Amino acid sequence: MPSDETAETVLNIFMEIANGAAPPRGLETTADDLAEWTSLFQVMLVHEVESSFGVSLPESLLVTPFRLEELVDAVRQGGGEG
Amino acid sequence: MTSAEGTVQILDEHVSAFAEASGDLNPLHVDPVYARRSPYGRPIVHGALTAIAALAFVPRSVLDRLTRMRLSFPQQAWAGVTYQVSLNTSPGGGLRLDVGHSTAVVVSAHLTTGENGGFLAPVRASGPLESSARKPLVRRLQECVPDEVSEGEYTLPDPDGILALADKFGAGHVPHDLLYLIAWSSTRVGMHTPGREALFSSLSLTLPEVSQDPGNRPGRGTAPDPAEEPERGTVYGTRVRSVRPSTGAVVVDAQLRSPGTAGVDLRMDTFLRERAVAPTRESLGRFLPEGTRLAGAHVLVVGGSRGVGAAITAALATQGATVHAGYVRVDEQITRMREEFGPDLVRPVRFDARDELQVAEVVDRLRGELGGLDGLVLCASPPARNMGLTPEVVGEVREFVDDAVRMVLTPLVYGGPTLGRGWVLLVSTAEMEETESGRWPHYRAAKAAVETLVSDYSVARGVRAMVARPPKMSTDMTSGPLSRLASLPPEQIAASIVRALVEGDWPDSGRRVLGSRECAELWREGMPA
Repeated sequence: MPSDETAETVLNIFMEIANGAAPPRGLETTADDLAEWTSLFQVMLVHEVESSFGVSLPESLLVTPFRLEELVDAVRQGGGEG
Repeated sequence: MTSAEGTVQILDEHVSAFAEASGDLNPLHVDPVYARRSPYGRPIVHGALTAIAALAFVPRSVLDRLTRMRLSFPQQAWAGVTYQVSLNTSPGGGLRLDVGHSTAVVVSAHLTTGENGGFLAPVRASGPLESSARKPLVRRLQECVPDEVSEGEYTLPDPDGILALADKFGAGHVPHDLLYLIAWSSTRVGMHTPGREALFSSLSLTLPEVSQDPGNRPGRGTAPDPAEEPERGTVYGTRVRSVRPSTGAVVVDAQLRSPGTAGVDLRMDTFLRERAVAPTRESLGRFLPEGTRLAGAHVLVVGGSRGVGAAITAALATQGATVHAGYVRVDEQITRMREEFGPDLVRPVRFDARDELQVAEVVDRLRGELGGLDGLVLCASPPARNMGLTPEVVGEVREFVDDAVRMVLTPLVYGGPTLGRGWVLLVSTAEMEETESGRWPHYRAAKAAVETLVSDYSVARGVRAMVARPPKMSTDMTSGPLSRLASLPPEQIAASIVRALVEGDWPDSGRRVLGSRECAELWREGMPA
């Protein structure tokens, strides 16, 4: 999957999990930018990305803060990049 | 543009009524004793009930055209709290409904509209639940299996009760079937899959668009096709879509089918919390070999029946100490520890650490029987829920800090004089090493207060004192989606602490602080010679 499609898919998943809320800073968005990005939200986001791309991401993404771009990079490294 | 705003407040009586009408009698909502041992400290409102109340702000014209709704429950809601409700256009299309206050969203919904084919899913009233049906299933994660299926008749104990509740919140215009679906999903999650230890994080429901032939709709193929027996009314089929061992995430798909209608697809995202078990010789033996370094010592552990207190009790017992383990309510953990270690090593003693009379009585009795104590462990603490500093929580913050201080100060000043050459151990928190707090300022304030009290007492009375600041541990009070990953077993912490106590490295004055890294790792150095 081309890089931009990977990023677009991750952003769409984000908006789905966030009930329609757009990431305010796009791929630069972090938990500090959105009140509803709680630890629970992050877990659901990572799991949904894993399911959507059929990849297994590092467990560290479940517990440590990241920018959305880092999540996209992890997907690419995890085999989601065509 | 559709928008609305207002407030909603759910009371205990509403929670009870919803529990009976829906059948969702999960103890997290209805049992204060059970809820006290959870991360919430007290019963929480059903997310589904909060959602139903909030739907009062969504016009009927929108709900009649609903094709998809995703409800999420990011944080717990409390009875008696007034929440702000707002309905706005969503940037990504559709409408967004939010319920919360300044520091938290407790329910949010994304509503998508179109030309739906209706979702008539008649529910049958099953009547009051039999006693056996009032207890949720208790399952461990290993017992939740992908592709596990179930099916049955779509019922609620009291659908009219659901409607009556909705009416109280001004949600009488909400299509009845939508209310029933939300209530039913809550019961499905909280009572069946995953059951008692479930946390319901989101519900997605999809309604077919009118262009689709109800008899030939593209089913998701993920749940068993419910048997179409017209005389049975609506039937459901569920399937566990996925289970994630790392976080306890369990996703369940459901289909509801009623003859002559297109049916509804549901997806329920949940987490299965892991309940703590009492420490044992085996669980401690992974970190701390048994020994006799503390043989003959008598130690009072305040808050010794669960969490890290129970682990410290057990760890001290494995070193030969006789531990007088304080508890407030009888539960299986204290009973199991007494059975595991025997009455010579673990002696449960019932008292409320906040009550001066009870504490004085216990201390006097122990002084009379033993002459004094060799150690005093202070690890009792009230349940802490995450909250910021806002006007809504002023009373709760004050109450928490007051309780937390009393639980340490009272046994300290009554038990301290019996110590002689003994020691005091205060279990604090690694949060004290953080420069920023976020949602736990009340917790840090309380720990800062008790650390100061113990330190000053130590200097003033010449008593040896240790303050341990453990990192997050996997206990009932911390159990959640990340507890499997981001927490340490309390036995590991207890092993490090007891090693430090046995080592006996006391400063000339003041206290010794066992930081979070030492709490986590000191046990690896083995017991001193």
